[in-house]
Amino acid sequence: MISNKSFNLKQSGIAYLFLAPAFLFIVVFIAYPLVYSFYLTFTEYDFVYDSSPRWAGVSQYVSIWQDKNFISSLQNTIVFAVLYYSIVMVFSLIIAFIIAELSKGQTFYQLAVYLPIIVPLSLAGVIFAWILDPTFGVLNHMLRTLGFESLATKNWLSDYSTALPSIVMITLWKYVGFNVVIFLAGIQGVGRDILDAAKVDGASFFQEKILVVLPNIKSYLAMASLYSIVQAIKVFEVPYVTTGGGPGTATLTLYLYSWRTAFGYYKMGKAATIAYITAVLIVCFSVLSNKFLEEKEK
Amino acid sequence: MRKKRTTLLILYLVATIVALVFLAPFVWIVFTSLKPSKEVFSYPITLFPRSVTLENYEYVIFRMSDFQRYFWNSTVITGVSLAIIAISSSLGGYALGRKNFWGKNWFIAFILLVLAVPYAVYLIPIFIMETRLGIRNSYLALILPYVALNLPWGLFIMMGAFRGIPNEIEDAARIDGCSEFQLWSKVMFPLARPGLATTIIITFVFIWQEFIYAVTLQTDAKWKTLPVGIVHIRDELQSLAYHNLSVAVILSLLPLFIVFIALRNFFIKGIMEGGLKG
Repeated sequence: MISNKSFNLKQSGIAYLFLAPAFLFIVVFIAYPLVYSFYLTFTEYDFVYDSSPRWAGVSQYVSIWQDKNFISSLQNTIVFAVLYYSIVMVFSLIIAFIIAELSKGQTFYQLAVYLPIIVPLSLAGVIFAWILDPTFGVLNHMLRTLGFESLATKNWLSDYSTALPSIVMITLWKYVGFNVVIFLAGIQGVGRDILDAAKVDGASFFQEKILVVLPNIKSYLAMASLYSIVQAIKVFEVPYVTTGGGPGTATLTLYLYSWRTAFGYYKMGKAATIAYITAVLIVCFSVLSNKFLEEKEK
Repeated sequence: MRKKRTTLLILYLVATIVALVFLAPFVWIVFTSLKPSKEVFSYPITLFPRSVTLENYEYVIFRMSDFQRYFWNSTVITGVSLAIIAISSSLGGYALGRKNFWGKNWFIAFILLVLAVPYAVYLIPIFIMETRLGIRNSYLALILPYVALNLPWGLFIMMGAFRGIPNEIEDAARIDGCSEFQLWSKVMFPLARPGLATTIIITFVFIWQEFIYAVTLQTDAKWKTLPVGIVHIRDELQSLAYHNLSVAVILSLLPLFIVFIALRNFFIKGIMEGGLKG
């Protein structure tokens, strides 16, 4: 440990001074909350009645599994995540492949797909609640015009079977462009010579993409996969704005339930536990995704 | 050759359909914003506006005081947060990128860890803290957490920007007799500006769109920001007045739209460097 002695005292002092403002913000609003909410998971804390958290050991972690709403929010989040993740990865990849092939007008197609990225999820919810409105919504109007009468009377967001898929669709609209950005960067980085060699060997369009391009953009796949997992599991705004978790608990997600437990019922210990479980879920899936995509590289 | 042209034609066809699907919601709110209120709730609905009017825009911009208030709140909170983030990440990134000090690697490791934690985890303690301090429902209520939430990423980007500057430049400046602060302000900071641009743009997009902190910490309607305020307008104030709501949505997207069109490359760079993950 020679390095310990090599810290120049004056230079260190200057460095601490420069870092001080950022350090202060991060300690007070990130490090402390991170530790405090972990502490809260071991307490019972009714924010309205209790003056301070009461130590409860691991009882939150035990009793949470008896809570029907928690179980359904866990199920909904996993169903949402699986649906969203698989569609967003495949669909974005296909769109990126197609856009990369276009010789003219590439910018227009890119812009069209990227544009929803700038829309806040809550406003995407507002826009789509209007589009999916059973009476005045444009979707049902179009379905009626095209002759799908039976579908055209559907109340997409309040029907048990279509509420969660509708939320998947709204989230897809927002985030597909995000993944296309990543995939396109990868595809455009694949060397011409590799592609030409594939062409000479007589590879078809799909053979070329799947057998030649995919293995060459592994790191981009890993990156998009990581993002998509995080986006999928932290689903909150869209159900909050469009369905409020309903009908029943059909679109109640982990974050929505944690939020409601904290700021609707003021049960801070329980809410922190749900938030932590959600965070652990995200980290686990992220590690899994990294492992999976790395191993394949060899 | 013929086969290749058919393939290309199919690709263009599919791409156009996809593009239209993605653009359709935008087109639909623009159409709705141009319709008189009677037409918005006529049945069967009209796809194209039968009569085009700007009265919804006129109403929302000049007379809808709630919307004006939310727009102002968003502007102040975003502006002040951006300024603080720009300054403290430029200072801190310099220390991390160019200095050696005890605890540096621990700090960097912590920042990276924090980037992986979904930011809703901090919300409950921050709510409790702000309630005790009595600063909920104020500009500060959102500015403080927004600065903190965006700093790890800002520091990370700025650290890279400062690290990329060649040592010769620093040596030359020292020989010319620069003080430590001058070295930062006159020599290093100007060279790190591209990194700062990425930081500011991505942070702007994050804060202008942020919902979960805003909906929790600003319960008083007076302090709401646009993403929450528009939902509030829809649910409480003018329930389902979609002709006005569409205008409000379009106007609140406008700043993001301008930034997106004008600075697209920084935007894409931000995504590639991991900034838009939240």
